[in-house]
Amino acid sequence: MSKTLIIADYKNNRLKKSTLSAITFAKQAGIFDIAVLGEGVADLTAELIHFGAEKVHVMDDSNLKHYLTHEYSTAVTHLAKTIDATHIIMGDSWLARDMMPQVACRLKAGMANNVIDFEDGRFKRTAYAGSVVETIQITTPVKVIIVSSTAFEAAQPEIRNESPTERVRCSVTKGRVKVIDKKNIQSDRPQLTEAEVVVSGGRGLKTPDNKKILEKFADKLGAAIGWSRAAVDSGWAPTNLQVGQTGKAVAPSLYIAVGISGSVQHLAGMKDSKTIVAINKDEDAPIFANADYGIVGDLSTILPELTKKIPAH
Amino acid sequence: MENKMKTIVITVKCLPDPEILKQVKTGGTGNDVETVSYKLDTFDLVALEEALLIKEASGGEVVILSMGPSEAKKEIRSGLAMGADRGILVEYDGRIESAVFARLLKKVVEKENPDLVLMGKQSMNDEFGQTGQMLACLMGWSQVCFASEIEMANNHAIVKRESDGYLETLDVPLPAVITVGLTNHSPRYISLPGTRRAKSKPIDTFSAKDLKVGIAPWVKRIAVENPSRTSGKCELFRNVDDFLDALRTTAPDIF
Repeated sequence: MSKTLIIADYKNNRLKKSTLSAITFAKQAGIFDIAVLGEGVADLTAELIHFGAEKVHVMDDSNLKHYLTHEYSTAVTHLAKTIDATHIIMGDSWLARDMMPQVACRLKAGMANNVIDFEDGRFKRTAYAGSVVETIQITTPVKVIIVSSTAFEAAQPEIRNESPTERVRCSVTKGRVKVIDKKNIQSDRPQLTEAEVVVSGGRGLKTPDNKKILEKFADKLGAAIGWSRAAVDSGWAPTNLQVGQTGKAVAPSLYIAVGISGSVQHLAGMKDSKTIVAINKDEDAPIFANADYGIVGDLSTILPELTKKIPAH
Repeated sequence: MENKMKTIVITVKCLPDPEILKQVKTGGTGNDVETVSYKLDTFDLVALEEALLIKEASGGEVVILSMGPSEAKKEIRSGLAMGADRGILVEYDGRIESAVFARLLKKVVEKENPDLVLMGKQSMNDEFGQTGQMLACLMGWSQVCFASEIEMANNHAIVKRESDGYLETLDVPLPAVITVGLTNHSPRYISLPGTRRAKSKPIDTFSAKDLKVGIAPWVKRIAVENPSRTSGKCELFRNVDDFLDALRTTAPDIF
C-alpha cells in the first residue's frame, strides 16, 4: 500500500507556498500525512491540521532549531521508515533541494524534482531550463519527489476538519557541520520567491538613474525586485537576486520584465508566472513572445509615468 | 594532518547548448538530446573556478573527474588549461542516472581519497541537482550545498551560503562534499600558455564497467516532449494609458 508523507517547509513561523503546492499535489494523488520539524512548532502544527492529512507528525527538538542537512535528513529518514512511507514529498524550496537527495539516498529511493504531473505511477518533470518535459518512472519501492511549486495551486485550509497529531520520538544527534553565523539579508522589500508581484530589471536599464526609477516603480507596487543574469554580471545587483535557470525560479501572480530581452535561461526562471508583462524598446525582443501584455518604448519615460498613475501598495 | 589541500572537481558532463536545444527532437526517448553540441556545464565551471582559487590560497592539487564518452576528454583538457593539475575520465556511454552516477563517483573518490569534492549544484540540462548530496550520503561525509564562498582553515572549510533569505557561515570539517551555487567569481579565461601546459597534463581513462557498480537505474526516462508554448498571445501597446487600461482589466487589485 502506498503511504505519502509531505515534509512541511516554513519561514518565520509561516508555511511556504511551496508546501501548500505539495499538499495540492498529494491530495490529487490520494491520502497523505504531513510532518513538521523544528523547535517550537506548535503554531505551525495548529495550522497544518486543517489540510485534510490523515495525520500530522510533529518533531520538536532543539537540535532541529536551524536547518542542517545531517540533523534534518536523519529525522525525516527515521520518520519515513517508522511509518513505512512510500512517497516522500516536498514542494520546491531551498531546503528541499538540499535535503531530499540525502533522504533519497538514505532510503535507497529514486528521486525526481521539477515534478509537474503524475499518471499511472509515472511522473512528468521539466528539464533543460523548462524547454523539455520528461516522463519518468521511478523503479524503487520508495520514491522521493520534489514538486514544482509553480505547477500546483496553493491548498486552502479546511477549517471544519482537524487531523490528529502525533509527536515523533527520535533522538536527533548533532552532525559535524556547525552554523557559525546566520544573518538576515532580506531587504525591506518582499522576498523574491514568495512575492505576489515581481519587477525584474535587465541590461536595457543601462544607467543607475534607470535603476532608481525601477526601484520606485517596484516600491509603489509593493513588489520584490529581481535581475537578469546580464544585469547581475554587470555588477548591478547581487547574485542572490538573479532570476533564471542559474538563479532563482519565481512564479508570482504578476511578473514585470523591464529591459530584459528574454533569453531561454531567463525564461526558465519566470515562465510560470500567472501574468507576464514586458517593457522593452525592441519590439522583436523574445520576451514579448512569452508575455501577456507588453509595451514598446523607452523605459525611462514609461516607468515614471506608470509609477505616477498606479495606486500605492 | 598537514595543511595541504587536495581538491577534486567533478565536471559532470559536456552539455548541449541551451540555445540550440530549442530545436530538440521530440517523441523519442530523448537520447538524441545529448548529442546536439557540447560545452562544460556552467555550474561545473563555477565550481572549478572555486577549486582553483582554493588551490591558489591553500595549495594542493585540483583533479578533474568526468564521466562520459571519450570526447569528454576535450572538456577535461579545457579545465586543465584553466589550471587544474590532472584529469580522470570514466568512460560511460549514454545517459547517466544520478543514483548510478553517485555510486561511480564514490568508487573513484575512495581511490583518490581527497579532502574535498567540489561539484556544480546541478547540471544545466537534467537539473536533477542530487548527485552531490548522494555522494556525501554514500561516503558518509559532511554535505554543504549551494556554497557561494569557500575558505580553508586547518582541515576545515569555512563556507558561506545564502539559505532562504539568510547568509549562513558554516564550519565544515573535512572531508566534505560541497556543491557550489552562484559565486562572485567568474570562471577565468583560458590563456595560451595554459593551453600549452594542458597538453602535457595526464588524463587517466578507464571504463565504467571496471568500477563494478552493480545497480540498475532507479529513475528511467520514458519519453520526452516539448511543452506547449504560449507564443503569440502578447497584447502589445505603445501608449502608457492604453497599456495601463489593459493591466487594470487583468489585475484590478494591483493597478
